[in-house]
Amino acid sequence: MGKNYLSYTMAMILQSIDNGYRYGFDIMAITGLASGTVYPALRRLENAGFVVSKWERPTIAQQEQRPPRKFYEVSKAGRAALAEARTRFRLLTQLATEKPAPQKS
Amino acid sequence: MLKHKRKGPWLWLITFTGLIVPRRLRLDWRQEWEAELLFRERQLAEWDKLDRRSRLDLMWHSAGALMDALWLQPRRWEDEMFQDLRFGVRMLLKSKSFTLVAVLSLALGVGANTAIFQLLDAVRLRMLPVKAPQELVEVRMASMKGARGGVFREASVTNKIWESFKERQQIFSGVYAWGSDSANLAPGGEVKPARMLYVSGDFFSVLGLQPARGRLLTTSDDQRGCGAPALVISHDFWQREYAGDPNVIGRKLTLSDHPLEIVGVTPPNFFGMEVGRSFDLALPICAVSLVRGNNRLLDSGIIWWLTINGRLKPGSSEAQAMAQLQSISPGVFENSLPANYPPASVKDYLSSKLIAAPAGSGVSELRKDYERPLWLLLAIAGLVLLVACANLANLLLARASGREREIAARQALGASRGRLIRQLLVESLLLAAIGAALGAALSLALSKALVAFLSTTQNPVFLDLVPDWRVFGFAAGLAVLTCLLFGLAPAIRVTGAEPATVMKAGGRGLTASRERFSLRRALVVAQVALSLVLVAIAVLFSRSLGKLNTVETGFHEEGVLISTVNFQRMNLQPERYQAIKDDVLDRIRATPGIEGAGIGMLPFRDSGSNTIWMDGTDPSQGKEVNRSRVGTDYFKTLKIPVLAGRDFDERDKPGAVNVAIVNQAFAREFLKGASPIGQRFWIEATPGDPEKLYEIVGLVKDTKYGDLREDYGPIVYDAHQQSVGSWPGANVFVRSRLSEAQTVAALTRVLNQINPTITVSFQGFKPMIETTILRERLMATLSGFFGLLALLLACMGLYGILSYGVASRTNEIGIRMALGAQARDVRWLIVREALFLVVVGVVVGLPLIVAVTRLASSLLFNLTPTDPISLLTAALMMLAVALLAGYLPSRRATRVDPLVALRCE
Repeated sequence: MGKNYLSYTMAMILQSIDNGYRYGFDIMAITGLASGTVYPALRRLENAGFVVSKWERPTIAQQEQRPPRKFYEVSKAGRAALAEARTRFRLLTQLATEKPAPQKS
Repeated sequence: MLKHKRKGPWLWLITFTGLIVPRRLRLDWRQEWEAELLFRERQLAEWDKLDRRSRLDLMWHSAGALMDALWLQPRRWEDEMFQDLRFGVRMLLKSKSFTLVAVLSLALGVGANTAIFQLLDAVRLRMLPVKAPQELVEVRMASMKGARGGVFREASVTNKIWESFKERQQIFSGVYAWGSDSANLAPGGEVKPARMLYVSGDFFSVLGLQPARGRLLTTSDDQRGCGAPALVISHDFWQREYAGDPNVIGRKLTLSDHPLEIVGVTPPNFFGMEVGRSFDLALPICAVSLVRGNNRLLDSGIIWWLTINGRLKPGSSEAQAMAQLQSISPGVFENSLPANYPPASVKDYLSSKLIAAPAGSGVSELRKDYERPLWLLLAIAGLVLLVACANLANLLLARASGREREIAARQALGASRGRLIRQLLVESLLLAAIGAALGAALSLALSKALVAFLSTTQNPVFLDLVPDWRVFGFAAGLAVLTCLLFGLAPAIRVTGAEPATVMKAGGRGLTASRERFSLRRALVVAQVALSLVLVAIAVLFSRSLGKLNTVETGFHEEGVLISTVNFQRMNLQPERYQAIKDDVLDRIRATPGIEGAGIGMLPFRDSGSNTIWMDGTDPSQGKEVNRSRVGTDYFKTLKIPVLAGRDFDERDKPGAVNVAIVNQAFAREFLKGASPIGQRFWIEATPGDPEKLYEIVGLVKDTKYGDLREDYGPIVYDAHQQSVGSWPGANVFVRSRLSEAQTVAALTRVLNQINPTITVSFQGFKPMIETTILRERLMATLSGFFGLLALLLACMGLYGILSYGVASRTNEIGIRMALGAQARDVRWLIVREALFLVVVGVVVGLPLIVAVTRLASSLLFNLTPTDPISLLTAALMMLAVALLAGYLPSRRATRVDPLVALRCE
């Protein structure tokens, strides 16, 4: 298996991040996957360098009176891996055309 | 983080789960989950959807955090492991001499253990490389009491028994028989031996072997009177003699003037049924008459040379096979009884029984002789490894004392004890792994060297030494064990100290305290005790070998060359054998430089015995006596003094009175020391001869017969020229003034002049005798090597602790010298310490010696395992080592300058 090989679940998660669902719970909501699946997958994607995690700016969190959340972004390598995965999982190609959902925050 | 009014149960769950997340990641991890959950909760509350269902959902999501946390687990080990490894490598590189000593001593220890284990594995543990070896059983004689004639191998059968058994058995799903022999590939001159394997037709198919080339033998090859038998060669022979030529099939190989066609090559890992031996050529059993030039092995029924193996039917057990063998045995022996069998033995023959024994790991003479010594050697090598471990533990402790402050600082900064121990253990593990890897590599060479040690030209030892999982498992197990042995104690010790105490203790580490120092002293004592055991064993074995080497054989074996002459290819009738032998002897004796030549049986190699009784006494009172058949001048050539009467001479012809010469032990045993000359005795009927009356014409001095270790026993010599026998050959003992090479050249020339088809092989008499004590040589050499190694390690251990003592007692020594102590007093101070350690070690070691050497008692010759001289020698050697180890440190102690030492404080 190549370095860029993604399982279907991983590819779907990566695709939803690319579509703008950048928080763990948003990904769960949109994919319907359990947290016990999504989070380990995120760690793995991050280890592989396909996503980068960042913390929300504290000012935003402070305004909303809650701790800052962590969000994920697809990296350049992640985009390449996703492109490769799309050739295998054709459904993802259609998902890719979907516009990012408006962010609540 | 902000304060929240209420913390949902899910948040508790996160807090709790977070505990198993690696500390480095824990804060981030908790925050991420908490923020997500809080955000979601808030969102739900805003939408007014925070009902039971969504709460449960949150709960479910936070439970998923456990998966997440678990997934992070390996990271923590990976991280820390990698850190530890890097740090470990750095520390090892920093103290190169320590690393070198550690790795070398471990490599030697692990290498020696693994090499011996590898031999044991090959000799004892491993199954034959054939199909389902565990189903194979050996069908063997329960007792050889009824066996008369020539016995090639223990518990073997004759061809007649095999044929009769084959017809009757329905016990096994397949049976086969095999026998080994040697043949000569050279057309004339010096022999080129080939190791022969004669097999019945089903041999290869029952074993489930596939040819590497061509085909293997089948039942159609093994038919009585096979005129042009098919020849199968071993893979090894194919590589050696034909350089692996793929076109070898169909080529001819000439054996005893018969060109045989090569039809196949056996698979590469197959060495036959005998562990310790290999074979060159495999032929069907029927071909043995062709190669040997007579039918005796097939038809006489008195040559015991075949081993029967069977494969158990699926589901049947060895016990069932045993019961069935019991019931067919009478029929087998009744049917196979040879016509001319000695009447006295017929009853025993007929009541013989066949029994079954496991044969999955093959049969082996080597195993019988060497299994016990190898286990003992493994134990010895294990002790050496223990000594090496004690030595390393000591070195590590010494090193740890230098690192105590570093470790205390790390502990003070929050490193957990477990983590520190783990880190120290990783360092030990690194050492152990490198040592074991080197040792495993070394073991391959060592085990090959050991096999070479055991091999003689007459009896080359072959062992399949390809390491298997057992050997690798053994080496790896040793690595882990040694690591724990030498690494754990120092690691626990050094991390156990209270950081504050260490930090406070000024310029000195705590290791200098009495209690800690005593652990190191205990280790040195252990080392001394174990080394003492090893040295004692070495001394015992070398003394035993020394005794064997100087044992009085009764011969003057030096300068005697045994030439085994074979004239089978001259195709003479047996009546002409004597004439050609006489011719050979006359010409050899006439050769310049040759002092004497005589025909005889090979002592220590050939043997035979029969029941003998004095004429006029009751035959049932007869005794079993060893026999030897020798020709004129045999005694003269070997310088065995004829004490009374005469040697055999030309008067002793076939048909004349049967004459015999006996030794002193015979005269003592049968005649109570009276002169035997003129006395007559009977020899029981043999398969070839009826009962015969002999007249004693000479008395010779005692000689050893079959073994150097045994006492002199009665020997009866009868005249070779009175019964020439059926072997177209003879062993000629030649005493020569020339060098061995010159003698060989001269004899080869002489034989070639008589007839160029005569073949001959040479071996020195003395080297031949020495091969009979090969096992003792092996034990003495190896235990000597291990003993030296242990001494060296003990010396290092002592030196280490004494130097340390000098270094830490500099002040004290300075004060003593300032107060007027002489160099001699200071030296004594240190040497006393060394002597003390050694004496304690010796006291601890002595009972150990008694326990361990008991195992060796059966391998010792003329020595008790508690031989006082050996034990004393060992103890003195230990003392000498202590003095040696104490010399340098004590000299250093005398060089202490009191002023410098005192200012130091």
